[in-house]
Amino acid sequence: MKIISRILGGLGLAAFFAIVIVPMLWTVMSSFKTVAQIATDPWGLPNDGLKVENYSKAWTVSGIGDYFVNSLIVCAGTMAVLLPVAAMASYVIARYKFWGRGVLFGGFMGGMMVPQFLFIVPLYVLLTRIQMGTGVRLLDSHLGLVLVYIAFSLPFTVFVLTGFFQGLPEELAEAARLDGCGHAGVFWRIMLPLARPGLVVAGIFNVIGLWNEYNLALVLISSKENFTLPLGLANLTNTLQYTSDWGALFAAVVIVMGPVLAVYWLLKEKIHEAMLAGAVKG
Amino acid sequence: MRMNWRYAALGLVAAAAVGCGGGGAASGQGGDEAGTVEIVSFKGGYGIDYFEKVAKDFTAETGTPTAVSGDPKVWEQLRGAFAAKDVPDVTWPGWGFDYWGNVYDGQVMAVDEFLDQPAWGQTEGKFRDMFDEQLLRLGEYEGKQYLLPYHVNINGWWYNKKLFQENGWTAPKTFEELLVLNDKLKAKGIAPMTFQGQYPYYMLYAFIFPWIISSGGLEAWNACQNLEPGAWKSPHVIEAARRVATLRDRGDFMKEALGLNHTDSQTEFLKGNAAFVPCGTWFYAEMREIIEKDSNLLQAGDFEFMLPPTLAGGKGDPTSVMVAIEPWIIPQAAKNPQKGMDYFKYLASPEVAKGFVEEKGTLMALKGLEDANYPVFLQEPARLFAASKTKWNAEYRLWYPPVNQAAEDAMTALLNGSITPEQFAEQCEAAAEQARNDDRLVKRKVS
Amino acid sequence: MKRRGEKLFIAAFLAPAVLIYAVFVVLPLIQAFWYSLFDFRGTNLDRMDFVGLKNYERLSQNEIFHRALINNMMLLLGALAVMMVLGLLLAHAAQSDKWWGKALRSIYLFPHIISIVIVGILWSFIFHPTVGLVTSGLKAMGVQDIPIWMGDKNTALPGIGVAFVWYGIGFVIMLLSAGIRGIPQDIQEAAELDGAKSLQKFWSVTWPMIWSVRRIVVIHTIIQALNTFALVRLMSNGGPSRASEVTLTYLYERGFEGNSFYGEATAIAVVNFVLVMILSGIVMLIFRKDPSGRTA
Repeated sequence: MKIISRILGGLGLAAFFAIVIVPMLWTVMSSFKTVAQIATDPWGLPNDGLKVENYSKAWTVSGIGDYFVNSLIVCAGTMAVLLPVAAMASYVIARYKFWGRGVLFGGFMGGMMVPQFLFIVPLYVLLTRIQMGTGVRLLDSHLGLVLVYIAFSLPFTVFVLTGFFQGLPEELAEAARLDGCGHAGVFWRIMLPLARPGLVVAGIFNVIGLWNEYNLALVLISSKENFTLPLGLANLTNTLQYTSDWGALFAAVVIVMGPVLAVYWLLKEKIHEAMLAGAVKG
Repeated sequence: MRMNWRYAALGLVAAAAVGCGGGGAASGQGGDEAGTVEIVSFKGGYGIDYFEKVAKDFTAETGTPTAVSGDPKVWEQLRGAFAAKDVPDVTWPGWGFDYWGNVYDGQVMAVDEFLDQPAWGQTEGKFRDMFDEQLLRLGEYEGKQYLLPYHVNINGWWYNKKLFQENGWTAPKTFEELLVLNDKLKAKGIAPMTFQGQYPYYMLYAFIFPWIISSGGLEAWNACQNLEPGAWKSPHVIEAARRVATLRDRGDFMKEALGLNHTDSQTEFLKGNAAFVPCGTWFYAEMREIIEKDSNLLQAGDFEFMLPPTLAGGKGDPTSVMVAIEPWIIPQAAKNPQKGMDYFKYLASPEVAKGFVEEKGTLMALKGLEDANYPVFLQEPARLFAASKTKWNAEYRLWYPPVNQAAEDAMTALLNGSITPEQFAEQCEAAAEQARNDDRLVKRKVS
Repeated sequence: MKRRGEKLFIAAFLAPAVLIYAVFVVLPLIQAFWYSLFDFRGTNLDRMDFVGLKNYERLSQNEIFHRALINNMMLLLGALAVMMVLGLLLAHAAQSDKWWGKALRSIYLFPHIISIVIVGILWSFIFHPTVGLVTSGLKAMGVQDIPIWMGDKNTALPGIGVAFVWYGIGFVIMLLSAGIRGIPQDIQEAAELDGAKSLQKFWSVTWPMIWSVRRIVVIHTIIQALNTFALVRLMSNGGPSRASEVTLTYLYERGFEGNSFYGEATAIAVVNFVLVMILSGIVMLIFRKDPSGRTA
């Protein structure tokens, strides 16, 4: 009885490994194959040398390189504003008492529950109206997308950072104040550096999410030249199927998947922590 | 009319190379310069290179600066641009654009005044007279002209001419001939027909609508387009659906076709795995790159265009051809509408238009191009187009998108055998009934 | 004086976040409910006709929307059942300190961490009717009559369900693992001393002890299943004949493809949101109390 269940368990586990790994491995393998071999021999190893040119083709001809840069710009732009803005707000929420604090925090937390699609039409109209009023281009622009990303990333970031700031010892702040630091000085010189681990967790988590973000970008970005990676990749399935250039398509998938998996591998523990925290709260 | 996106990939590189990456169609950057004509075009199978070249010549000739941009989903940019009233001066917004919604909402300029001006390079006469009247009328609403037809597509079937010649077969003219031929094809192990299963409108255009017309004449089809009560469940619609069911039940469709997209299915045809594929005249432009890359596939000249076989005893004109215009428009909020129109007139002038025909391989809604040299794959469509006494279209698609959606859904269901021809007709009629009662949909009549 | 400085500091530090959040999240949220009461098209933002609940009435009579809702629910129920069972088994396996437990812990989140777009693309390759992994695999095994997956009304939604589970299972394993880890050691040992076999131990100890985690799993899956969009859009686009249509792909079609019926699109979004809230509320009620009477 025990042996049978052991064997069954082993088989089941092996099957799970296979189901997780095989599609990815298949993608990586196919990205090194010729188009002909992908079609005729989908399970085999590359038999015609490693087609590294699939990668150069995906990067240049298919524009993955440009999308990569766009995604970097959008992620970096979002983080550059999000982290300081969220840290400032979280610090105040965590360590000061003021009227409406609970409501404010609750308001931010509520944002984690609401699905993006509830906002999508009003957001599109709003960006149009702001653009008409100010002449600043927000539709189909990285600026507009970054603004929206900042806003949508605030709830989780505030949640993580508030937790961090609450956990910091009061003595250090006290000491700094005695040294003549003002409220802002304590924050910038003492508290913010101490909260670095929190910033790192929030940062990584957000970057992974934004790197993969599809729904908002789909509606807000319409020109190819502004596409982020997920948009570009989804679009590539159209373009590359035209040329039936499956090899380059698989290579493009690897290019997008690779960095995320690498970051995940390096920072597994931290990411688990952040995800768990977010899930339990949300 | 799913134009191909692969040119876009190449175009992107080209755009990067000449350094025009930044602008974007909807930016209005071109318009900021005094008097620059901003031209925005759909960038599909025909690319935008020709429009760019023409713009350069136009600038050289008139001194008016121009800015051309394009995108494979240019209508998505334009949706925002129109809403924000930051628009180009003239545009071909592509098949995904909600032309009529924008017309009803006053976003598109009525161009009658421009059409009454002389054509490019003329001092008298009217620009209006350069167009095929029947096709020009497709762009009218409440007595005013809004859409400017330029090139047109005709829809039909493509068949494997090489295979037919090798076996001494001819393209079937009637449905009965088709069935006989299909048996011979199946005996040889070749699937008679593949199709773009993921995009059911191809099959509506290739089977259902032509057979409605073949059975009941153009009136039967126009009654459907006009949403006349009962039109969508008329005997003619049921008859057309029955023919599809016959082919389905006989196993004349390639089995995988329901899961294929347009390129996959068209590639299956080019590989010789199926003898027919429904598609419009853009077929070659769309598949050109694949065809040129792989000599094992059918090459230009190996495949040929034909009209869908007719139904014996029907009322329809056997020369009926389905035509779709690909119109340009001038936005109501354009900063330089006259100059935008000047560019379009220049584009429509005989020499320039002829160049478009010969370079891109398409039919035109303009007169006076009879002596253009059509590429080999376009000669038969051109002949059929010229010989056609009845040119019809599927305007209801843009008038009543929900009806079109329902017809597409029913088409797929009919092809996969989950509904009967009668149910097909009932589902379409139900959608038509809903559309009749939906006051958001502006009601139109085929003129 | 000091108090005023502090107030100013608080206001200044909160202002940027609050401003951005108010403009781009709170305002559109309110507008969403408001817009759903109008006939309002993207081609003219200045013309909004108030129609009351008409958009909701239209949806209540719209068979495609009904189909989409049903598909969302099927996806939810199917995925939830599979993920709960598999998730529990694998979460147990992941507790092990043997090599396979460690390996499992390293990989189970892989599918969840890569972009949903990639998951969609990957699985459309896998289900491709001619070059796909599954089809060619079955062919190699000599199976006849292979379905055409995304082109077949019977296999399209289940196929999407498979991709959905593939994407979501890692997160469920993670939650359940945390739940199992959180069971106090002494309770587990006490159960073992009582001579409980592993299955008994599971039912008497583990299952009741992880009730709060189960609640999170269920609510999380409700949210995910009702908000499915990218997978469907990339794999089947709702086809064939709406067999795999879900509410959000339908929303996208009504709002952003062809006719831009903004009022109706927001009404769909509101219905979707309210449904998530109702279902989550029901789950909260059912799982309100620790069934064993302990507090966790």
